[in-house]
Amino acid sequence: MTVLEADRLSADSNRRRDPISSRGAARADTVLAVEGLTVGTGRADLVIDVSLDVRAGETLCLVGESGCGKSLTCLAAMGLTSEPLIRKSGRISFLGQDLSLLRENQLAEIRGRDMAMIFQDATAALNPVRRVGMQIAEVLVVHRGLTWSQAMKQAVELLASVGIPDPAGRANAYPHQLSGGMNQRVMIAMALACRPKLLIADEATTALDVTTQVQILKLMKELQAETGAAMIFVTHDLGVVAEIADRVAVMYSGRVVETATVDDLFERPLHPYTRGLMACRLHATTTSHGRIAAIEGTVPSPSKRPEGCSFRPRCPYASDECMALPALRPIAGIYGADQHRAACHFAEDFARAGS
Amino acid sequence: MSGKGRLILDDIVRVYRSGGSLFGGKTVVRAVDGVSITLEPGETLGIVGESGSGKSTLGRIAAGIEAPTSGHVTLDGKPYARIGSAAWRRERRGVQMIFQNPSKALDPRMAIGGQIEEAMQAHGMFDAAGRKQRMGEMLALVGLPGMGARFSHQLSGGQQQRAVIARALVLDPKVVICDEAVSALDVSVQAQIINLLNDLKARFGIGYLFISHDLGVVRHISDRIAVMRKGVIVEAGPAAEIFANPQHEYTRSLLAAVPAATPAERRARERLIA
Repeated sequence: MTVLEADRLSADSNRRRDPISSRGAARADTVLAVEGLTVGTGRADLVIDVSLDVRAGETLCLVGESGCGKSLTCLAAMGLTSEPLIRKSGRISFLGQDLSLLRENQLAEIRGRDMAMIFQDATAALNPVRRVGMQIAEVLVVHRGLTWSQAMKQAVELLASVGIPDPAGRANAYPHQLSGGMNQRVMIAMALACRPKLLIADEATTALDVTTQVQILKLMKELQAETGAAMIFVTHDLGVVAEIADRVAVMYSGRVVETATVDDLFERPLHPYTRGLMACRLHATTTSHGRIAAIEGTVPSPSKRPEGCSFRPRCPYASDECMALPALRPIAGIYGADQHRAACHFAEDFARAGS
Repeated sequence: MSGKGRLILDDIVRVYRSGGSLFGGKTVVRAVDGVSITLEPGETLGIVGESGSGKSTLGRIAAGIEAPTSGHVTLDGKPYARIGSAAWRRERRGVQMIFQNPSKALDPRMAIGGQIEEAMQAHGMFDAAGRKQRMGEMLALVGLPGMGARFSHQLSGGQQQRAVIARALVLDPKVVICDEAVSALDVSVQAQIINLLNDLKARFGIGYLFISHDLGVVRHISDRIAVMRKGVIVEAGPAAEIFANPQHEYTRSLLAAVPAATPAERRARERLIA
């Protein structure tokens, strides 16, 4: 029996315990919708008015520099914010259900089963004193109610499905006996154990060597095609975005400043920050002569954001208008305008100029 | 400091032994296995390789903070003194090192200006007033003017790395070993630091041994590149040539694994494979 067949068999028992599918879903294929999310501490807002949605089978990439709020947005989406972080406003609906209406034990049931997360440092995320096979099996025992022997058998199959050679042998290994890339595969196997509807990968390939990264990205794409899961991929690497994204949301200093399909974003970046990011990429297939393009200055601290547009002090196009906060809005004059939104007063000009 | 700063690593071997322990016998890892490289004055030599390739070990040996099992390192024809000796301590001034994580490289309990002055003091440079002045000049040079009283936690990651660079370069080194020096920085800041390193190289004629796993960064900063795998240099040559016309199979596989520049490029590649 393959994992897929086992899945179909257990689907019925799953449904009975599912607090979500009993309620009506808003739009059939929207898996996660975040609307107007603001998260912060008492002193500063770290995520401001963020709206995102991701559909089944789709990959949304969240791009931005460290501290821009991309990881925090994901944690909030999973209901994992805790003191001193407060969700100040916003609505998060998962499969049509408002997550804030759920009790913690209901959330815990969804997490790990319907939504799963993969982190950057898999070796740190795994339990060092338990064999990896056991750790995967535990997910199946807790969320699926399988017996340990059934679960262990399936854990081995899952290890095989993420491309680990000698899966039965490796199931008995401890995390320190495996390489970083192997541990990341174990994490993916664990995340996919319950066929989640939403997979959040937070810098999941950043710590890996390029040859390993390309394998993991390929694996994730294949598994997504097979399961139809929605995926949110957090990264600061535009190369990874080009590899895996369907749509992209660019974040800067807590806000989404541009969203577009991946092709649109690379062909017509409309926010000066996105344009700057594109310009200062150091790609192995290009050469630079002399100085490399850089975005001067640094990201403002969340407690000292400038008035108006946060990017203003670093922006080569900044003018008086930028003292007023630009709204994230559809940009007219380009193909698929409703898909392409930017928060810059001059975005229409960039669009007309053909970027 | 006299001399031009030619660094020569000749047939370097570094063997690590482990084990003789509870489980099984001894294991021997040849982390660096017969590497010979020459870093010309004012040149940037990029060392690329994946984790475990031995590139960081090679960097530590080049910096003189780790002794090779066999082989010789010479700077301007002079072999490195025995590690820990007084002569070795004096020699450290000529070769500095910049690591990946600036927050760990800086002392959290000392202002950055003090750390820069302390480095000069350790090498008997100037008097107290002269050191203070030189510290101010160096901080201005790396883009941290008047920030000597700051502590590392008051600086961003990019600013911390600038402070580390100031502390290394204030000693007028001839060679600087950069081990993943920009890997932890955000892309926009990464470009700033690379520009800074290049400006300082042009100004002082420093040679950089630039170790990184990031092929894009290495390509854009290096004059020459050496590709390392399992302790051995499999291919070396001018940067543009290595990328345009990789000879070794391993170099080709590294380049093939680099993510696409654009989605259009990715689709073109996928069509090629299909």
